[in-house]
Amino acid sequence: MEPLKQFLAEAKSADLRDKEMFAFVVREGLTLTGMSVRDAGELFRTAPGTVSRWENGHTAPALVARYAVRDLLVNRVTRIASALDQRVAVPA
Amino acid sequence: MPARLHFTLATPVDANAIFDLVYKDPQPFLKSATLSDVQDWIANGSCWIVRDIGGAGIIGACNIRVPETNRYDEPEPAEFGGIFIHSEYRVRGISDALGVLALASYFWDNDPESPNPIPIISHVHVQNPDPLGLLARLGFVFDKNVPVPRGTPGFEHMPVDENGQLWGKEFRWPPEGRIHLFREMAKLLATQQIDKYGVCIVPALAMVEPELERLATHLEGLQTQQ
Repeated sequence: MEPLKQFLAEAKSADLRDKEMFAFVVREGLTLTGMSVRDAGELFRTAPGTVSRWENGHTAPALVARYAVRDLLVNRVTRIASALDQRVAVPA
Repeated sequence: MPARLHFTLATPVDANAIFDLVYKDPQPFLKSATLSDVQDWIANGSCWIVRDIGGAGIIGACNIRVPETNRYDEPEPAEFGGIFIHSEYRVRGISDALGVLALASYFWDNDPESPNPIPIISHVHVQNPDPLGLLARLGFVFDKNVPVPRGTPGFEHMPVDENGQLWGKEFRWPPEGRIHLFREMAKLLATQQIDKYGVCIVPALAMVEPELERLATHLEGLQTQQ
C-alpha cells in the first residue's frame, strides 16, 4: 500500500518537463499497475517500443502528452489503491 | 459534413481486414506477410488505418516499427513501413493524410522538441518507383542504397541483381521535416476534411492543434539558430 501512496504523491507533484522524472513516473507506474509495455502502448495510443523508450529515459512525448500519460497512470494506481483499501476495511 | 473516413490506430480485431487489404494478393515489391505477421505488427508496433464507415471497411494501412529498447543501449531507428491504400481511394490525399498522421504521432511521442530525434528510416526496392512521390511529399530524403541480407523472410519474391543480391533504397527523415509535418497535422485536425470526405482522426495521446503549432514554431527557431 505504501509504495502506491508514495507513487501517487510523487507523480502528482512531478515536474514532467524533466525527462528523467517522466521516465521515473512511467517506469514506476508500469511496475505498480503490472502493465506490460504492450498494455501501456494500447492505453497511451502508441507503440510498445515507444513506451520502452519512455521508461528507459531515451525519449519523452510532447509536454501535454506527458501530463496525459501521468494522469492515466495515476488513475490506474488510484483504482488499485482504492481496491486494496476496501479489502483491508472488510473484516476477514 | 459527417465524418465518413476514420483514421485511427489498428487493434487486434482489425488484423484480418488489414491482411486482406494489403497482403492477400501478393505484390512484386511488397514484403510478403502472413496473418500472424500482421497480428504481431498490430501488437508490437503502431499500425495506423483508415476505415470507410460508409461500407468498404478498412481502406488504408500504414505501419511504423519502433523497436523496444533498454536503459543501456542506444535505441534503434524506427522504420516507416510504407502505406497501402485500396485502389478505389488513391489519388485523393488519403495516403498523404495517413502518412502525416502516422509520422506526426510518432514524432509527437518521441522528443518532438529535440534538434536530434532518434532517426526514422524507410526502405523501398531499388526498382520500385511507386512510393517515391509519397515519401518525398511526406519529407523523406534518399540516403543510400543498402543490400538486404540474404535469407531475410518476406523478400524471396523480389527481383535481385546479377549477383543474386537484393537492394533497397534507404530514406531518412531530416529533423527539420517535422516543421512542415506538424503544421500539416494541425491542418488535418482543424479541417477534418480530405477531398470530398469528412474525416474523424484519433491521433496520438493529447495531440492538439495549438501545441503542434507551438512545436513547429519552436523547431523553426532551432533551425534559425543553426
